Amino acid sequence: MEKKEKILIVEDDKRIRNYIETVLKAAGYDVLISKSGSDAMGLVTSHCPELVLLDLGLPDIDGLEVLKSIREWSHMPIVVVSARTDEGEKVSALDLGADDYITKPFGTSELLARIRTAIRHTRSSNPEMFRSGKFVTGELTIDYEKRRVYVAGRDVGLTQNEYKLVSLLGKYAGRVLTYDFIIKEIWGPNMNTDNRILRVNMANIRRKIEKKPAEPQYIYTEVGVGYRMEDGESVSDDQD
Amino acid sequence: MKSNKFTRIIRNILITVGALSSASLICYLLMNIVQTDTHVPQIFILAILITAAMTDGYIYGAISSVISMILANFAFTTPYFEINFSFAGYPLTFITFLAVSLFVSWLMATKKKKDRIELEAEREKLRSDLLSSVSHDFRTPLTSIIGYASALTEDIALTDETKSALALEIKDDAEWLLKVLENIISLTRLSGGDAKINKQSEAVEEIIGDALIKIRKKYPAVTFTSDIPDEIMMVPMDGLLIEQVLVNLADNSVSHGNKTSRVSFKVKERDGSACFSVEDDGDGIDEKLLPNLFEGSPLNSHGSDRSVKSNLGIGLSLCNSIVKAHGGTMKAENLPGGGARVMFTLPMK
Repeated sequence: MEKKEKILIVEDDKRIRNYIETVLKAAGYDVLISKSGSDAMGLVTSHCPELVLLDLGLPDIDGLEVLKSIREWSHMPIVVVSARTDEGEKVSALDLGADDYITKPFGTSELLARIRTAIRHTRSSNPEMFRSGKFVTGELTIDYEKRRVYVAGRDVGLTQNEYKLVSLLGKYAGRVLTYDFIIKEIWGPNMNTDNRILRVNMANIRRKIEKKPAEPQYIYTEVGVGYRMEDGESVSDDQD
Repeated sequence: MKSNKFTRIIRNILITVGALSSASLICYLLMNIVQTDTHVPQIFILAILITAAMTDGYIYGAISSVISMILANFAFTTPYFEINFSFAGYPLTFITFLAVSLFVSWLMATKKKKDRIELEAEREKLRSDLLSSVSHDFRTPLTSIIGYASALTEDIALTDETKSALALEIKDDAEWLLKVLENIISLTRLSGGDAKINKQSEAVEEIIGDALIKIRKKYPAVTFTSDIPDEIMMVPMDGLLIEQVLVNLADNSVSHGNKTSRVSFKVKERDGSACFSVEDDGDGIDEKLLPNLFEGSPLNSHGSDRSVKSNLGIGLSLCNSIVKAHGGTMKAENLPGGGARVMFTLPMK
């Protein structure tokens, strides 16, 4: 068996920490524990874990500050654990560079799935995409060289902005991109954050690539947060 | 807060000035028509009355009676446009003006205080109703969670099958508690006076789409469908709250419909409003409950039957509060072929 992957849990509540620790150890991960933000920053530099599971409500430092300071020097995957009621917090965490978030309370399978996805993504950002210049999920193909999007082999005829939007989501497939992030990437930093234009573009895209816009198979909405592209095909090597 | 106080002062001054100048204008016009001044005090009394009733505190009414006195004396009684302190009824008129103003101000203040006390009492009652309903609603699943958990830990001979069934019950009850808790949080957020809803232009299909994913995950055995217009429909709303309404309604359809196998979300545009409906093929809603289904006295929904968990009250009154806060309306009916339909509208502008 290969070397165990190391995961740092940053969580001040003992019960939740125990729960996560039990689950992760059972799933074969090497687990590091930290009860506070300052502690966590030390462990991150000394142990370089494969992933950090970061609770945002810490006793000493704001979890978002911890996230910010890790992001200053490292791209290691960080999954944020947040309280259910605050959508704004999730958005800030994603905008500060968190790879994903998971809301309390969560089940075992959900937790493990998020962790696997986040680790896989940093190992190589879509190896298949690098090799072929294409992103494939289900019947959807994004051809980055030709700048075209196909569904079941048929060119769906996206406009330039629509293509930019889909290719951006494809590049970060499996991850939620916040509305602000998408708007800045596509319309530039000076665009005032008008969600309406993004909603309309997305609605048009869905009419071109999805069978039923209200039941999407490729691009999902996370209400109040952003959009997420279904993970790519290169996932197949992950079935264990 | 400060600017609010400032606008109130401006408003009070405007009312005072407005009432007095109207009174002066009327006196002036009448003076030219009827050539007498007997009506002057009555008209000024009226102005003082209006001022005292509509402004805050005693001060504006009192000021108004002083000004009225001077105006009446100076401009509208003989000799015109001259102050004349010597005419006979002068002190009496002034005292009458002042007395009227103070009395009316006092009456208004008392009434406002009484209204506030009543409102507070009503809120207090709502709060205690909610609290007692919540503690009842929480106690039942907590009892079962504690019961099952102790059965699992206290070394009673149980088959593995029973053990996993008990664990599943614990999970169900805990999830149900979470749902109630979320509803209560949203409800208190909305009824906390200034309802903080964050309205943005949202595409209806996205909200329905996300609601579908959530509810399908929860009830994999039930068929959930959607029927929305082909063209893009943008509606200003707090997306998360409306999604919560849809999920709550669909959840009710399944958990209270008993034999519900299909639930469909439908959206149509009608008269400048987006009309959402959630329809199911369950048992329908008890006709006795229909008339005040949303009036949210959570107390009347107590079923001690565990399968009919009594979240109906809180869940529906929450949905209703959310829709109302958006300026929409909500109603429920039974479908002729069986099943229930809950509809709500959201204004599109």
